[in-house]
Amino acid sequence: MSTVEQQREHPGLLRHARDRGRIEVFPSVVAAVAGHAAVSCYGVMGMAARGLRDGVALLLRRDTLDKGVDVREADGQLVIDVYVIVEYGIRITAVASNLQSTVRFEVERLLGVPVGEVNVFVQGVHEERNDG
Amino acid sequence: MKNATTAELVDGPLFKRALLGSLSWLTANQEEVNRLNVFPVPDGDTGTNMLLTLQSAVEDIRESDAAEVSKIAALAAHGSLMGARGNSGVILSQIFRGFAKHVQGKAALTPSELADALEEAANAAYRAVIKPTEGTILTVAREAGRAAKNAAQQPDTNVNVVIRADPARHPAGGGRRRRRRLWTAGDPRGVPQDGRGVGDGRAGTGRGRQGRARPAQPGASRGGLGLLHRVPHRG
Repeated sequence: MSTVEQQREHPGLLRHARDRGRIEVFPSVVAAVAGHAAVSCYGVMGMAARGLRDGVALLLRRDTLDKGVDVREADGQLVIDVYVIVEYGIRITAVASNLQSTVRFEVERLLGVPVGEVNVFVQGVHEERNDG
Repeated sequence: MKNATTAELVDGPLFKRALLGSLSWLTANQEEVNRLNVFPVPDGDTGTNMLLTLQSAVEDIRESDAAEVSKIAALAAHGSLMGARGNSGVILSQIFRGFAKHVQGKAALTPSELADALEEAANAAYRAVIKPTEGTILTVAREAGRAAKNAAQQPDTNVNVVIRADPARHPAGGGRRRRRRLWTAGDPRGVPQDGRGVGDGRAGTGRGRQGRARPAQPGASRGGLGLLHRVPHRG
């Protein structure tokens, strides 16, 4: 698939006009950055696939973290949805709020694009096994 | 009142005074901790978040005259869970949770039980993150646990020695260089992470556990979990 075709397939991709040419960053890249930021957050045990499969949250492997993130553009700003599984026993609202600020900070730091919203969807909880 | 310097066991009242002492210390030093906050988001609120979490942790403890350390620890775990703010606050609540779980049902802790509980608290904190970042409160908790464990294995030890165990003098240590490496992990400029701040919070805990439940004096600490006072200030 040529770049042009890819662009048609991804109407939401970011475009930056620059004097010396264009820089385009695909939504999947934003998603990967957001995914990595998310799993570095304390209390986040993994990314989950969007939606439930047979009513169960699907934990994503490390190389498919971006599948747990939705990226779209609204009014020149990014809207990022993050689907996560958190550790049981921690205040989930606190984890989610840390997650919002970390994802926003990392995406803005690495891509220089303003982030309008970060929405967190807690898809499941994980309980540690060797719990004394 | 039990004399902290000769305490054989950590019971409810001593642990209560320890936590109140930590709160006093952090109240006095929150601004310094805020200034050190560079990870994950350098918004300078680590000290404030941790203080709010700790305030919530001791809220119910003030009214409690429980004799058992397990009851005080459980109150701290619940209070910090409810009031967790920011990353460091969430981690702090998990540390309290791990500690409380480990001391469940115990009226008082011997030096080695205290060391085990500190180590287990750190382990619990590590289990709730996929990619732990060194140089944060996690590192401080783990090193403090190790140092306490090491101190507890010495002959003629007591609770006070365990509390004052200095991670920097841990045999597996390597002194200042290792400490700096740990403390500045993840930041290319070598600026101490918010872990130092969190460490200071634990330092307060350590000092408080020695029974000095009064507004702590920064720099008055010798060794113990207060080691972080000596980390070069490069922020």
